[in-house]
Amino acid sequence: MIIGLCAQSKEHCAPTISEEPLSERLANYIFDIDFDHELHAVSGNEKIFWKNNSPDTISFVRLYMYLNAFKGPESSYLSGANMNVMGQDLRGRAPEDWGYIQVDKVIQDDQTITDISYVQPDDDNDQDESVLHINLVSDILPGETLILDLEFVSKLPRTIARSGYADHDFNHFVHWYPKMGVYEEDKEGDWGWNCHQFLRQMEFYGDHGNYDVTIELDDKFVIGGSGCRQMYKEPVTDKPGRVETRFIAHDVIDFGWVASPNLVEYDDEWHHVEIRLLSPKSHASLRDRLIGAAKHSLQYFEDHVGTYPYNTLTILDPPLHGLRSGFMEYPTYITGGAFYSFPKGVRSMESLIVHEFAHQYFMQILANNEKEDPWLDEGFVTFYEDCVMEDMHGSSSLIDLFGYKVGNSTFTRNEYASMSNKRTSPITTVGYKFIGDYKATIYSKTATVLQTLKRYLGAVQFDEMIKGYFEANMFTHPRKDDFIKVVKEAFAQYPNTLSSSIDQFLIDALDESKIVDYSVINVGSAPSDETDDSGNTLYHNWSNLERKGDFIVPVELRLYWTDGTTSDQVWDGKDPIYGVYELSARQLRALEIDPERKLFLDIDFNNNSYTLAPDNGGIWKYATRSIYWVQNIVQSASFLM
Amino acid sequence: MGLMQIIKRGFENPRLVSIVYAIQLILAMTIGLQVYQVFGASIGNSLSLEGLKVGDAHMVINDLLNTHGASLSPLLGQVRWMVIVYLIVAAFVHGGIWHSLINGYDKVSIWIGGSTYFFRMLMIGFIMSFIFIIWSTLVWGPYLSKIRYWMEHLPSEEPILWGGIAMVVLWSFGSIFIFVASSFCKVLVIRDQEKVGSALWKGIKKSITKTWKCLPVLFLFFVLLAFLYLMHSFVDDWTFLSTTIGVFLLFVIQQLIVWIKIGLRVSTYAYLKDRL
Ligand SMILES: [Zn+2]
Repeated sequence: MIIGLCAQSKEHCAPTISEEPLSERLANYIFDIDFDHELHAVSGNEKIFWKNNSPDTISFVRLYMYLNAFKGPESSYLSGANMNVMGQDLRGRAPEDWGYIQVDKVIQDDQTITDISYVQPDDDNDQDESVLHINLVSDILPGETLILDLEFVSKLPRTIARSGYADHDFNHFVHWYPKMGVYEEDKEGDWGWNCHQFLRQMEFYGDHGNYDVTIELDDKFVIGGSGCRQMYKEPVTDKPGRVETRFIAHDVIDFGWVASPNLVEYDDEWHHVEIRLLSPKSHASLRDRLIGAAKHSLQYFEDHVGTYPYNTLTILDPPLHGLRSGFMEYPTYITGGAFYSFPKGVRSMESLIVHEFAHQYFMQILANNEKEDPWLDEGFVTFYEDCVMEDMHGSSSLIDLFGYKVGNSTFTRNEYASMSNKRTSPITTVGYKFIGDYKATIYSKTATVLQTLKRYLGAVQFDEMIKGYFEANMFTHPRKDDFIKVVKEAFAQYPNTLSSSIDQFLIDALDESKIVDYSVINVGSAPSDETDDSGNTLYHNWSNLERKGDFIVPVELRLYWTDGTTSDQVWDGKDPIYGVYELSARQLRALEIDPERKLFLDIDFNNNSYTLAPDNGGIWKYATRSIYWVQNIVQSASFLM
Repeated sequence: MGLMQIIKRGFENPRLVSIVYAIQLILAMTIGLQVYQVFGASIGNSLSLEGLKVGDAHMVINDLLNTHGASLSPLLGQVRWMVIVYLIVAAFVHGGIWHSLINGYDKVSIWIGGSTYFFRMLMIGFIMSFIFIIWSTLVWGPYLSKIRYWMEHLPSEEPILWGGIAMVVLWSFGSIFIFVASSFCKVLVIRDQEKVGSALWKGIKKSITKTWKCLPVLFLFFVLLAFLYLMHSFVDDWTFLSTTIGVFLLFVIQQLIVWIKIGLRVSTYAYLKDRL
């Protein structure tokens, strides 16, 4: 079958806002595949165009074969570790429930390559087939383009970690094809293939490029995915009941798609972006909530980070049986997780859409290595999820139900502050080597670090900094140093309390597991024997402060006086115990460390202040509440007595 | 008889309601005062207390639990014990209430009734609670054990939700029957001096035939209780109640709600007594 030309298309299709390439387009793919839903498999051709942008001559290439991680319990993804993936017990799976990718033929320069093998660059498990090594027939010189023709079969497992099929003909093809590794210069300046095996606590990494994907399948399916549709469900000649859909995606790092007969398509638009929601019928009432969250995200990122450069955004709201494919991001294609009749006051489904959308920036446009630096996407995404949600719904953005209110950034910060052991691997630990609470550290602690930077720097200045980071690194693979650079520049350009120690702050926050906890031990005021010029008694006013953590940050202090005035000071935060003293005609009433909550990383805000005139109203409120609830509990429990 | 008249019967002898209320209040105060103490000792001098009053308390409570959670968690254990203790106390005071409703109210009737029928009330209470637990397990056990399977295989969560609501309705109906049966048993023991065994048997039989007629009234009682609950969460959210006087006012409202709820329980007893 020949890939259709534009004349054949029924749909307008321009994947990005630019006629010019947005990226270097190093890895490009053309697929022509048949989908057999009875077998949950696709088979066909993949043509890879890979540009050698290195100074090296390339004699072999490495490809990701992600689905082979789900070939059986012997893969490195599943062996050794327990057989529980995201709450799903995989023990005792039927053989047909596993999945795989099989490459039947590889051709370069009209010659079939026979020197193909599976390699294990990360462990010695020779049963693992998640990386394919191909010795080329002829070398690829710097600047040349390698063209490979592959014949392959991809069979989905019953869904594991988003990839797979579920009941009712739900099929989610993600990380489903032989995909080029990344040939890059490492931190030591050496060039080589960065193509890790698929292990736990690991996501993905790839070069930007173009995808042209033609899929033949049964007419009954609704199909959607990355990019735009050049052709949608055109009947195939001589094959009754079979149709073809062709997707085009430009300047993206991956391509994912879904096919299910039980999805309804809702189209909407925001400025230049066509938004397509694929949702089960029963979720019709959730449409505005999900699309609304996507639109607000688009606007927020436009205003605060940079323009969304693609013309499409497809959202899969998976049906219940396909929920294991939810909660994930692919280029211009995201998957959520929503429930019929979910209360409007609990906005987790909106927050999820915002989160996955934010990955279009952090993971896709700024295509960091998710395997090695997951914090560069998950942490940033969590931070922006909180920003967008609070911009949309105010301070009780996540939950506002029956008087119970929680904001996103508070929730994120609390997740970090509540970690039982905060001395686990630091934020910048290579993802798959991380030990400890991965989510609370990589997602929440990173977001809390960013929140701290924003609060010290100022919102406008922070936006300017991130816009600079985005502009400088879009369509590349940014690393830690790229981010550190812009932070240091911004803190130098806009001096603030943290500026003088920003270098150390970044090391302590990102590369260490230090804890910030500043507290006020006491406050006191007593008359002295002295008087001022007008004969007023002078008072000894004092307060003792304590640095309880090992993370040193300069903090602002606010002193509250009984005459209603306040005065501010800065403490460099270094000494374990620090005394504040003032002899004056006014009396000290209270002292607060970091009154504006700039140092969001502080793990306990309650001990940040001490007042001699506490207002016990709040405590009484909780005491009376507990009385009320105990009365209700005993009254209800005794209904049969 | 109109609903208002039925309700009024519960409040005819406010002393009866107040005795139950006082017992509950004393028990609850032991927890409330400890909560006050723990909060005071751990964050009593913090400016964060402001946050507790205005409902913006998530971060304050989170940090309090992180740092001083160990002082609060024993209170949950105490509440568990308190419930068990109150079940026994309830057998006494409820016996007294039934006795006062059946044989006439005077200043000492609640104490006489309570002491005379204590063990029989306790036995009926525990047997009925046992039946209630079996009923709840029968209704919810199969449903809950199937949820995981349904999530993988059903095309939509709609039937799970509606099925769940149907189960709540079914479970509530059954629970009302058990409540009516337990009430009838107590009437039979006190009014007709039946032995517990035969009272149980007859009470259950009567409840099957008579509960249907009582359902509208019992349903209205349920609606009233739900209304009181919702009213509280509504009032609790009012920010103007965040001053110290406001907090006191909130306490008065809460206690009024508790007192009314107990009164409504007595009204239900009086109503069911007349249905047998
Ligand atoms: Zn994410």
